[in-house]
Amino acid sequence: MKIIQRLFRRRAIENDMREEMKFHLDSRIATLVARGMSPDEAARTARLEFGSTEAHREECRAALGYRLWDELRSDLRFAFRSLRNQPGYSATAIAILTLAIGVNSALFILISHHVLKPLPIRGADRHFDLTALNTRVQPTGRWTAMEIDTFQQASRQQVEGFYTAGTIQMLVLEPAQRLGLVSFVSGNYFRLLGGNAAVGRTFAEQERREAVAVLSHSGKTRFFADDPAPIGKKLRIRTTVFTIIGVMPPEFIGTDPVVPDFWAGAEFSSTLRHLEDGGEPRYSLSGLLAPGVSLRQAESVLTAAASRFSRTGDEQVAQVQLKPRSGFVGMDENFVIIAGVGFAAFSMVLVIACANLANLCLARAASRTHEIAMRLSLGASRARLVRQLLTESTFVAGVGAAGGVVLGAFAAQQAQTYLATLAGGMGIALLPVDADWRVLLFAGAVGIIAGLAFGLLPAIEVTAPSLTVSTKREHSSFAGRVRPRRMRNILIAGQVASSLVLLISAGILIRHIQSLNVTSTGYDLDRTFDLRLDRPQPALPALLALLEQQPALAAVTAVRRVPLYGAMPQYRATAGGRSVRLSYNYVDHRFFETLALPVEGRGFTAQEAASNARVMVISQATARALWPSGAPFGQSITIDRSDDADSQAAGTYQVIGVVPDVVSGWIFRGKDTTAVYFPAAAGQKQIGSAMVRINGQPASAIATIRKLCAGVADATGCEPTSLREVSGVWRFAFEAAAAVAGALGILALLLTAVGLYSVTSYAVVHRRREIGVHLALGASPSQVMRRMLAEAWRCVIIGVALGLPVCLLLSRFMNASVFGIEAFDLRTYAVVPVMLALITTLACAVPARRAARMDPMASLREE
Amino acid sequence: MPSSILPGTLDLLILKAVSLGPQHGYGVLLRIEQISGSSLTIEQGALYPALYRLETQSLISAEWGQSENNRRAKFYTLTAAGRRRLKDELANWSQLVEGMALALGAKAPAR
Repeated sequence: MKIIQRLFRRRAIENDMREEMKFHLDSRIATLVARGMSPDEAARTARLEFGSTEAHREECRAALGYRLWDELRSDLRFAFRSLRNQPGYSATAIAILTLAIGVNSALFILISHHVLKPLPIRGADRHFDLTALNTRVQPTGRWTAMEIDTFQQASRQQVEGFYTAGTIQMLVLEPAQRLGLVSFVSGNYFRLLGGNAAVGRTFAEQERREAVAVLSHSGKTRFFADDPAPIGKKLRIRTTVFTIIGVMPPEFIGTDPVVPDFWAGAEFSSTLRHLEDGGEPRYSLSGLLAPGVSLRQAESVLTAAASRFSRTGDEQVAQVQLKPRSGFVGMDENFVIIAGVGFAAFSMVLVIACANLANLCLARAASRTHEIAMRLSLGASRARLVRQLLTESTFVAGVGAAGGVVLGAFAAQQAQTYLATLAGGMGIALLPVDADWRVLLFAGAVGIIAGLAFGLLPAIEVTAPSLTVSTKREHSSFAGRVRPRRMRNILIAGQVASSLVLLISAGILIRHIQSLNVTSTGYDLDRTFDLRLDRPQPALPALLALLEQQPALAAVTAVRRVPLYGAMPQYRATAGGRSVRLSYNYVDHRFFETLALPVEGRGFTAQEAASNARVMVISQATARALWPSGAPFGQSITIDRSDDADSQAAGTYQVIGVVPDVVSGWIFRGKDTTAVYFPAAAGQKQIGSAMVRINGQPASAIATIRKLCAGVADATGCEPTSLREVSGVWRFAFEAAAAVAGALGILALLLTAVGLYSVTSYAVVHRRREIGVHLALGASPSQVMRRMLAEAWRCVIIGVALGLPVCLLLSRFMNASVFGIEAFDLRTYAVVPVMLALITTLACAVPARRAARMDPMASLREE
Repeated sequence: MPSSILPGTLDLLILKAVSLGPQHGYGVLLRIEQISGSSLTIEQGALYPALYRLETQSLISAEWGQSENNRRAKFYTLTAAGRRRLKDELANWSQLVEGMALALGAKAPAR
């Protein structure tokens, strides 16, 4: 601390030092004069006795710790000068580091924004989410109002307050019909979290059952753009009309990563969402610890309270867990895995960049061995030289880091904007991200580490030569030193391997997306629409009847599950004496017509649909699997009575029809391996979705559908969405992953090319004499060029050999995980290595050509 | 003829001189000469790096004040840490002197 203070008081301290020494000399002169010397003689004697003032002052500075600082300054000046003298090297190094640190900063900005930045609430450091485990260590969360009350009573000392909050998307009908995000919160939400309304007020404790709402800043902009204070205005969801009592300031955005349009009382969530089980509503729970209380203390009190709940079976609570969450996203395992994979990929790029630069430094340092050997023999200490070289590399890294922060902030903003546009289609407002001090700290640290990483090895390597040999310009003789060259080759092979891994991953993902684009789902993605009904149960039969009369609609159907929303559920069944698992769906009699599927045999009749007749239609793949010899018609399939089959479904069904295979589950899983369809009709339990196929222009048909939906009794809203859009949402994840892997891979490839280029050109300069002798002895230019290239190729081959096993391992992982990616894509595996070889060859060919065209006499005369 | 001091003993001498009362740099020099009966000389300039070193180690503290001839001068005072250090060093020193005296006064063992 003192040293830093002194740095700022440097001038004053220098003055003090001078004055103190002057005082000493003057006093001495006075003493000597008093002893009888003449003033001139006294002054001379005093100076002699004192010794060299400047030397003593320098020692004083060293005692005060200034010397390190002074040396650092001169190192920096030296670094700046030598970089300015080599603009090519500095530009390359800085560009590479800017890119590498930039991608890392971008990721860090996104993570920092969601996890590290504290929630914009009072006491974010004491904020927690409450979860619980049952006796079989499975999570059992969500609490009834009574249980929450018990928790509150039991932990008055330990917990400042509990709140519930759940954000869901709902269709707002007034003042404008559009999807909105509603956060249902407990009455104490704003008071506990310290949120004060900008206009109006927040909830009062006693108005739990009043239909009042508090708008967020973004919600006000979306729904009441031209009203400065929409207090007393109405918002309608279905038949419930909320009165607006307040508007929150832009800073208060709640406790979820998405900003709700408005907040309403938790009591309304169950009535509005029409929970089907009809049981008591349950809420998830979060809260603030009381100051100075540990999580453990609160957990034990709450666990004791939970043991008194009247719960049975798997619902019984064995252990209450409090998970601290000070940001929007808790640091749970999933998050750590995702962030870890991201950082692994991105830091790989940084490692490549550092390896690359170490290469360049090594090559550069090799041409400086003479200078360095000279300085060593003149008495510079090795530590001092290493420090100077490190200052140089860290300086470069510092400039790169500064560029990286700018680039990273830009990239993160782009990513967030992209996400927001994508999510915006679904009515979700994401928060804008911005770079803050955490990012600067991160980039600074990464920059320094990178600078040390790529500077240290070359610095140690190059300051270790034997003095006598190096001063005699060893590097122009035939036998180059072996060590640096081998190290360079290993570094390049590593780069080739890394870019191979990244590019092949990107290639596989891109091919996968392409295959998704052309995947034939078996139905028309652009003309088949999911109506996305808001409140289907009571209104569905009437609505379907209305829709059926529309000439713009080719067909309408009611189903239990619309395709492309995830894996289909399965029943255990017995057919032909074998036990199988079959994916199923419940559809009405117009389903096959709506998807335009030709039915072999026959489809359901309206009567069969209404009475849930014991007949079924199966897919061709199912037919082939169950009755390979053909003739499935009239066969029967028995649905077993088991855990996953509701009791009504169990029984024996007769196969009446066979339809072509379609994609019912995730689009990336491809066509169903098994699919059976049971008859059902609108109005029955669990038949909650409707689909239509549109003739002609979808736009006008959609408008008609919307109007009809809003017109039927009980104000049902709908949001017709084509199945293409539905599938697009899932494709986005792959697109993003491919874009990131591809960008990183290309970056890595460029780095490799730059690295190979610079290393080869240094090698050419370095071995000019050797090449000259070769040429003089009659080697043809092409022979020389081949020799130079052969070395580069060896590195590439080693790199590919190292990278391929990693790729195969990674592919297995991608294949095994839920994505179902076809991992071994022959085309990618063939194209990427060839491309890599081509580009690396090109990178070396330029300097190698220079070597081959050299005038042998000129290079020999140089010495 | 005054002899120059042993290497490494300057710090100890300064601590001792300052322990007798606050002094400026030149005063420290005079006091060392005085208390050693003018038998020890030090290179006067070398005093200052030593003073700065001791100050950085917080063994002595410095403050600007008025000298006897009314000039601004920097006065050094022993700190508590300095006092402790002086005590330790003195103990070390007497041990060293005793040991050296014993060793150098030894006679060849009689055969």
